[in-house]
Amino acid sequence: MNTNTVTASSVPAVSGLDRRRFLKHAALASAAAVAATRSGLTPPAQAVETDTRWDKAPCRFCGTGCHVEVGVRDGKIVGIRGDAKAEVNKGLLCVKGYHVGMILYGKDRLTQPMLRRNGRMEVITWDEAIDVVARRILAAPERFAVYGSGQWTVAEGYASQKLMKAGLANNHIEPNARLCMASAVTGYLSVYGVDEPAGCYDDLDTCDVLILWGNNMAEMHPVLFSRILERRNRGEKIRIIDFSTRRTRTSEFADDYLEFRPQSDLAIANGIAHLLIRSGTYSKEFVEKHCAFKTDTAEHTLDGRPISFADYCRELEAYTPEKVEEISGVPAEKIRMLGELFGRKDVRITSVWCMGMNQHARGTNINRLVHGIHLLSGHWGRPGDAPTSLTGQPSACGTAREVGTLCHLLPGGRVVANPEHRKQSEAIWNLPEGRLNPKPGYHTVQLFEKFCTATDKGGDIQTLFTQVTNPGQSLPNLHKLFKSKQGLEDKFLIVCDVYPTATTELADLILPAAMWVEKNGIYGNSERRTQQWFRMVRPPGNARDDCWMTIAIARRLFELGHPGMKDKEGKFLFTFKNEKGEEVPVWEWERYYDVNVDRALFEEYRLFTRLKHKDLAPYDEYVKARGLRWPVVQQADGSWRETKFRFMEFDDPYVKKGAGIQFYHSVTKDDRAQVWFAPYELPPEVPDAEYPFWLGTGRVLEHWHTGTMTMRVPQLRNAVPHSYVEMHPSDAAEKGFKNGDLVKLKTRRGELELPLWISGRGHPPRGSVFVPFFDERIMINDLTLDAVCPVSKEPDYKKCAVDVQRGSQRSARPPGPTI
Amino acid sequence: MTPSKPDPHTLSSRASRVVLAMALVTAISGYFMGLRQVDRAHGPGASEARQAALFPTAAPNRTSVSPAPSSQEAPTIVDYAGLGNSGLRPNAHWKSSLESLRRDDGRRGAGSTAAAALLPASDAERLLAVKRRAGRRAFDGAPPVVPHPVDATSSANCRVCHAEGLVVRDVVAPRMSHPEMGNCTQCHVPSGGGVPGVASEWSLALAANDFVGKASVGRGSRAWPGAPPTIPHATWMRENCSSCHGTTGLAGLRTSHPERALCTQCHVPDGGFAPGLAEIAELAGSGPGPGLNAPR
Repeated sequence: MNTNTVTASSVPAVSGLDRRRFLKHAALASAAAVAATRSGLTPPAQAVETDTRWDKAPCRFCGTGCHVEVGVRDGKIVGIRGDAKAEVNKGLLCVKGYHVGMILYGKDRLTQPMLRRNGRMEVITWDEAIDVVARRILAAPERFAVYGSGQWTVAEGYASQKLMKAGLANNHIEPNARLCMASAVTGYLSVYGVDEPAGCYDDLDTCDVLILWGNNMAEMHPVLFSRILERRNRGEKIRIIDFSTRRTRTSEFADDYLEFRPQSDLAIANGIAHLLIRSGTYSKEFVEKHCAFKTDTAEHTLDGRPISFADYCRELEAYTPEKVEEISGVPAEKIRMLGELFGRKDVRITSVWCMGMNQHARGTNINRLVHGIHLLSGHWGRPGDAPTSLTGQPSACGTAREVGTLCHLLPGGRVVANPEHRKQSEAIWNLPEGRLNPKPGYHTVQLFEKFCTATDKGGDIQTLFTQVTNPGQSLPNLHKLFKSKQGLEDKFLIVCDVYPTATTELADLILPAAMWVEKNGIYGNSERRTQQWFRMVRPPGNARDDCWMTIAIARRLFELGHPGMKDKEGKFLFTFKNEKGEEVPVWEWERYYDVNVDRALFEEYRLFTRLKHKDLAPYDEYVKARGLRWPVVQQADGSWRETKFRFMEFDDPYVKKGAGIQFYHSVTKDDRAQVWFAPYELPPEVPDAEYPFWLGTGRVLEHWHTGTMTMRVPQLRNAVPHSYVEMHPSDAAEKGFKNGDLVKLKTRRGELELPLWISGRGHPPRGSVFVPFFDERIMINDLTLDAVCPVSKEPDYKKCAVDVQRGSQRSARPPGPTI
Repeated sequence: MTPSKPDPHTLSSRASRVVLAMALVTAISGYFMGLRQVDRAHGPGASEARQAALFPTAAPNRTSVSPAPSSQEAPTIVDYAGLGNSGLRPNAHWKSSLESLRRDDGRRGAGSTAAAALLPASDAERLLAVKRRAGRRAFDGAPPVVPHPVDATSSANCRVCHAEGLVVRDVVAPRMSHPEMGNCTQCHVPSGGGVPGVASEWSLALAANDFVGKASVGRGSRAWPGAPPTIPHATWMRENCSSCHGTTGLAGLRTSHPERALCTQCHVPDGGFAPGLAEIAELAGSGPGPGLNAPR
């Protein structure tokens, strides 16, 4: 039956309807309804979903750490909803979160281990694959390196950390978080002596002013941004100040949009400090009680040099509002406005930032300076008065920073160079004394340089094992740091992933991984919140857990006789027992889930967390909660209490009674935080006659990281199907470019053609262009600069010099990755 | 002779001048209006194309209800003299039948929510609406995608049509069910891709994905035939029933009694569709507590 005929014939004109006709039609309609139901035209009436089982998990994507509820039916995910019980997101998600369940079901999931033989990828068994890895390691343990990410679960990161540092005495382990938040870490360490924010998302609920330092929050942390917008819509007055190098969606919601020249945020922060000092509106009480002063030196070290308050003031003298305007382009009156704002005691100011401040040639310094103006002004230590960094990955904090999967760290804020710290770690791991290697390994950029350089030319990393990340697309200056691996015969790249990526292109061995709710996991979000989930569905084909791979590799090394795989009593490093006290050979995949390995590793890891007041609760507490913020401390009644605000007596149990605020990890050992001075310095590459434009890179709301997951979700891919370059309309007009034209970007490192989008998602100022990095067919990181912050070693993806020319008019699309 | 008395000669000459001026103005403006009229002759076709571009998915529905324009080509320009024979007729969508006008108004026209009795939607209408709804979602409960281009930076434009809801023939701009959320594009993204340029070369087909989302469970349950049905979906962020079921909703989902504003007086949420208001209230008053999941 044609549906339109039904519509037309069964609905007469309403006004001319008498009661009898109405009844007649109603009877007809209900008869038709019954008939339609029987014929299967309409779904049967059924009001309750009994067949879908819902369970909690943190979202797989960014560092916000929203909780989702995952609906599973017949072993497959069928729906996602925001978890109303979660404090982070209160039931709301972003478009990526609502579609996160679909990332498991891309058609091209990797399902079999594959080894490159004579240039072709051939399917092999898991036993062969694990054996290949173990023998590569055994041949040259010191030339092996592991590269993971802030998407590693806590247990995965911890197992890798233990295999490398405890087992192989090899510190060449890094996470991609080095490219993402290393500057935030060095910022916290040099200011407070301990990593991670003191405040939390609750600050967003009480602040009067929100300052976004180069942070497009509406797209990058939309759920948190909506938390602020909701307060506004309820009638609260919140002033949003958007510092940015280009207009974004966030700017549309901001009260003040302050556009600054790349790198000049250093001058702006100094300008605010200058005004606080000059007008005497800095908090004398806070400074006297809680602050000491330091300056950055020519050597750019983590420790810097202590200076007096008078010296500090003298350093700031040059940063008058007029001078700052000259450097930054932000009008002097706006700088004065900010100075006055920070000078006011009656408002609460929260600063947030992410990649804008972290991926910065002076990333550590700008982090220090922003903490500095909060400390100096006393906008610190009350809910709503906080400088807080956000993260881009779901467990950049939980795994990379807390487990310490960086080349110089041990778990729990320990460093390899410190003999005391090594001793503590050896005790927990039950290792013979002196097992741990005191020399930091290579940081990420160095690591890939060494891997992509021929062995006889000093490239002393030969085998690289990557898990849960895509360096072939996300590293800067890809030609140098990744693509040059091609043709180096003795280099061996092992890639563990879920989909073919730019990295698997050059892989010698591919290991198919289980992802997200196909395995147990624990993540730690931006606000120190540790979140747990259980496996809900099975991975496809022969894909297996990353953590299992690490343990299986260690076991194979143990069998092959590597002495490091034993603790000082000769026991295998990864020994797990079930409730009956029997050892379970979890390295046999069939037995892996006979015990909860996540739980066992977490309980072992917990011992480290108490060494620097980052205490975690027992695993089972996280099973019950929607995450808990550390330090989680046991109360007299046996319950576990999380800490929202660190160093503040009213909430942090580790603060001395009566101290009010106590920086108990102060680097000066006197409970003081360090207020730093650091000068404005030119970025490593600035536009010139040959390369006259600034190039900035970043993300869009719909795609996450390198797009390997989101580009496989139709709704997300359709929203932004390919990459583009943003340009100011006047610049485009001068060049004769129209919207949609193919243009060529060229830097000293590479060139790329891509379509132009004028007045689109973002609006760069004149003389600057922006390109998102999600598209594997248009890899902007072929062009970016590999210069790093000298302290954090984090590259600057936000600024380099580029030339913009007319494209060749043909599609220059490189073929998508194939295996 | 009093000066106040006008001279009849002067009067008539003044009148003729006024008449002349009027004629002149009419002629000139008539000329330009005529030009515009000719220009407007492009109108139907052009607006059709624009509409098709804006609302691609709506196009089939429209054509199925009313005859499609015979040709997408712009009509030939004609002068006034030839207008009568040009074959140009009023818009294809022009409605001269009182019946159909009434029907549209009574069913969902804005401002006509008077106590006019409406029929419940037919099953076929309902099926159509459910199908259309499903076509814009990855699964039941996912935020719908936007079937038209959007302003890439600002949510203000969304509100122009969606704040109150809008019906233009078969195209429905649903009223926001959660207007308190200010950042529309956080969850609702365009289905057509907003990025301009060389689309055929650069855009690939849909990302291949095997995900099968859960479908709508269908109708609410009724205690007995004729009893008010329960609400067969979660009400979180859908507290404003009129958004989908009101006069600016899809025909198949609309209520038959929009004049009764207090929906939940008779229609209550069905259990099993968490999260509900009760849970959110519980959350508001509590810190981290035991979750939904019992420890295993």
